[in-house]
Amino acid sequence: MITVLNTIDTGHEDMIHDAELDYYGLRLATCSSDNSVKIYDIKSGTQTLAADLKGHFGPVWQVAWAHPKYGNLLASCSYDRKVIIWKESGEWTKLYEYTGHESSVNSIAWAPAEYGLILACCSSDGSVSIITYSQDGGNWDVKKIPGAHAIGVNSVSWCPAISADLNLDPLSNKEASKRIVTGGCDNLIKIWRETGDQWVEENRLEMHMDWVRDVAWAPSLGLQRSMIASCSQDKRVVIWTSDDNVSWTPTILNTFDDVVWSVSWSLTGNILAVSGGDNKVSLWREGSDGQWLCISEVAKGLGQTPNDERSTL
Amino acid sequence: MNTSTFSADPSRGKAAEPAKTFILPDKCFKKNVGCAWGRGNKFTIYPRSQTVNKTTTNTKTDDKLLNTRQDILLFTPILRKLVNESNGTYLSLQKAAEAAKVSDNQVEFLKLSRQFRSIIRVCIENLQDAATNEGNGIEKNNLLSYITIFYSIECIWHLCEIMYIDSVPGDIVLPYLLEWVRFHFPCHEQTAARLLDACERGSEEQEDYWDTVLGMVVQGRVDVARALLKLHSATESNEFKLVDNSLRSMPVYSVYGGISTGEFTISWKHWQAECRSKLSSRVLASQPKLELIMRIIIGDYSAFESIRSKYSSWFDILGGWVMFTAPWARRHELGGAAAACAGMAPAPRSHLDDMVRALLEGDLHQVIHEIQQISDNGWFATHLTDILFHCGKLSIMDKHQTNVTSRLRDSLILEYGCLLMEHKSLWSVGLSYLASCPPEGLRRAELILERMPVETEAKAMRIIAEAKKYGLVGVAQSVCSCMCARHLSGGRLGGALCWAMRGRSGAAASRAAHAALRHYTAHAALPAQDLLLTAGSAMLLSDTLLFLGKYCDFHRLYKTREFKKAAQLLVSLITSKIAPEYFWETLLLDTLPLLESDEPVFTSNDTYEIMLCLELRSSTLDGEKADLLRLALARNLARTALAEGDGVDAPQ
Repeated sequence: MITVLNTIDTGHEDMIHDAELDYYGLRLATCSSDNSVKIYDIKSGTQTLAADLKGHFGPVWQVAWAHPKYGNLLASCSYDRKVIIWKESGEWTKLYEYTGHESSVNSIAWAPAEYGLILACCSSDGSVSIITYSQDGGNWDVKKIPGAHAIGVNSVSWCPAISADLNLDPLSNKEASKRIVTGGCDNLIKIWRETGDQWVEENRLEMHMDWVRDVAWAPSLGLQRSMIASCSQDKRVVIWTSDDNVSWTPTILNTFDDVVWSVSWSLTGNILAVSGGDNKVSLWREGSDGQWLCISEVAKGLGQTPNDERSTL
Repeated sequence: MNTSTFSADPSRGKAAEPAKTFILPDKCFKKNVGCAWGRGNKFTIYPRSQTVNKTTTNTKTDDKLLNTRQDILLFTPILRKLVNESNGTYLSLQKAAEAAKVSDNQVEFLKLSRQFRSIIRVCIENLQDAATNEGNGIEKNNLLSYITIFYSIECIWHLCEIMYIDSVPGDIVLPYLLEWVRFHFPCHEQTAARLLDACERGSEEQEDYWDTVLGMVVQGRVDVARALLKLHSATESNEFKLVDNSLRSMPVYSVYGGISTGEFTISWKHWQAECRSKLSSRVLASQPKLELIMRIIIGDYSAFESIRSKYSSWFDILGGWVMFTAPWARRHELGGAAAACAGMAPAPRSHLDDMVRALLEGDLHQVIHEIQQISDNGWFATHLTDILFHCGKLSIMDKHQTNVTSRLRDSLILEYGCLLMEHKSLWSVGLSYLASCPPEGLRRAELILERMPVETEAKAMRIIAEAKKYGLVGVAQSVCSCMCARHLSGGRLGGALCWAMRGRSGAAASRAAHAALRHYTAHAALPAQDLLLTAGSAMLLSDTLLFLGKYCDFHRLYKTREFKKAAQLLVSLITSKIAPEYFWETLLLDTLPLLESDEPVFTSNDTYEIMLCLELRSSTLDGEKADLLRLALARNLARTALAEGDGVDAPQ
């Protein structure tokens, strides 16, 4: 049984594009076509609006929480070509505004905290920016991958620090190379690796037949295996696995009835949530035989939640 | 979610169960829908739109977000004891399993299995008490459904123990099976006791007299049945004597009885043949009830079939069936008996049926698959699988014939551990499960532990202590860094410094030290001086922290009027050039009062050094202050040069 703990009336004046729970699951950030970003405290079943952030001049596509060891930081990206990093100290204020893209910024992702305070941003201008905060100077340093995907980049996700170099012991190997995965309008998925002060294309994964909408690198469970989920307008979700982060094997998770917009891994990477145009969220997990099974679905319905499933056995 | 990782093997002709669909109130999704993960089984469902509204009318949407969570039965307060106590037994079992690597430890395993069963028993009793006292109808229903769940668990565990964990002498399972039936399906026991207590001739007047006698026969309580027959008013008749004689003379096998199974089989078959001939001689025709008893003890299928409807399940007659058809049956030979009994009445198959059948057929894979469907959030599946695994009784192959037994066990424990980690007070119990499953368990523990909400300092300390217990140093550091950041953003610099040092994190220490130094430049007050002066080797975590510590020491010396030492320290801070850019002004201006002290405390060499630094960094001071400092330096140089001029090494 799934219980609805509480319902949050966002009060957004237009459509919501993203919602993200913070590191501890105590706060929820949402963003909307009404140009605003809102933050709710959702402790103990109640919710209060903690902040209403106005700084974008276009629909806000995505929000991302940074690791709390850097303080309370939230990044947002928007159609207005800007990325804003918000900081809470007493109240929420703009810490930094990045304006290096020439078109809508579609997706943002914080790097694993081990690497420092680093944000990857990807845009419809086809490029990906990696912006790094330098502690000493207190400034942000920008590296750019121009022309990462023709027509535009839709999504970006970081390789977990621990599995960055699978054949090396992660504990002794702090200098493991950083990797990101991106998905774009050229139907491709690309993996980029930082070498020196450059980001180079290490791999391109071809499988999708339409725009790739979302990519998500699975959290590492200390096993010698890396996993990436991707979804596309071709209605398919593909799971890519690798033993060395170099050669990748695709498995089609499922072909859905409609476009699939987003894929996201649970905290420990054992469940993948898939959502798309069919108005459902389905939860998937891998069986012992490598087969992917749908374990639950959440769909819109006519109100009441059936309460009879709980009975006895 | 605590759903099985292991699908039913398709070759068993059983397709994977269709996924459960949860229906949510529809108002929230006019458009598409998205999912944001929280920790564990919590996630938020939101109306995720991929496109922008084409229409320009900015109508306020009715969109709502749903914060959802999987219901966890085990988190019901009344089941807390079960979770905690079974954890203790689980941990003892892991130790026993470790010991079993060098010596056989079956006795210990049996003891622990019984311990688990007694925990379940206590749990059921608590639930029964609570159900009796519960006034609220819905709550009462919930409690009753929990009781059903744990009854089934107790029943299956007991049978599993007999079949796989207990050592059965000679592998002759009948006495154990009878015990199982009597314990879990007591029927007529009370009536029998009442009748025997009353000890009245003519008890057949009681309406359930014959049902009770038959019930005792079917449960293998032959002595009780005989005693009841003695209470019949016609007990002195030949028919009664004949039946009594037949019951009395039934051979009972005992491993220690001194006869082999072969001999026993012969004498038992001989006894049954005699019974059969008595029956066919029709001497009992006038006493149909006695005839039925005789037909049962010769193992007549139709006789069993005729009484089956008197019992709620076929388990009740299983013991009797085995007793009167094949009392020498070994543990792995019960499948046929189960099939025979289950086939006696066209009853709808319950889940418990399926589990008992699979168990008697020796199909443990199926048993584990079935028990995963019980809505106890995996408590039973996890603990049973674990004990069977350690007993070496579990061998599960996937379709490629690779042994996945340990993977199955691990995956169940990982899921169970992760589940408990979500609970606000059971998390440390969950941690102990995850820690028993390295390496994946520890990695999962790390991911979840780092995200435990830290409401108080005490909670932070508790998380750190638990993390260190399992060697998760990274978690301890991360928690300290987060606490440090939290204090920093709240402006509590002392707390921030303290947590940075506790976590021995260089980066956090730098951040906190910078904040303290900046705070000093603005407000001329240093935080946590006691801490900084006594921190010892922790000061080496970062250059900035070291600088802060030394600077603090300078203040201490100055305050205690040890001006010479203070001056030396200040000069060394200036010349070492580790001061952050923004702190130079403060550092240089700190020389002023010392330069103007009555006794000169800076040597001429010191004064030259300070002058050099001042000129190199003059941009950090405004002109007036710089001039003031230049003047003071020049004056000090003059008096020190004069004083030193008397010596040998006057500056050239």
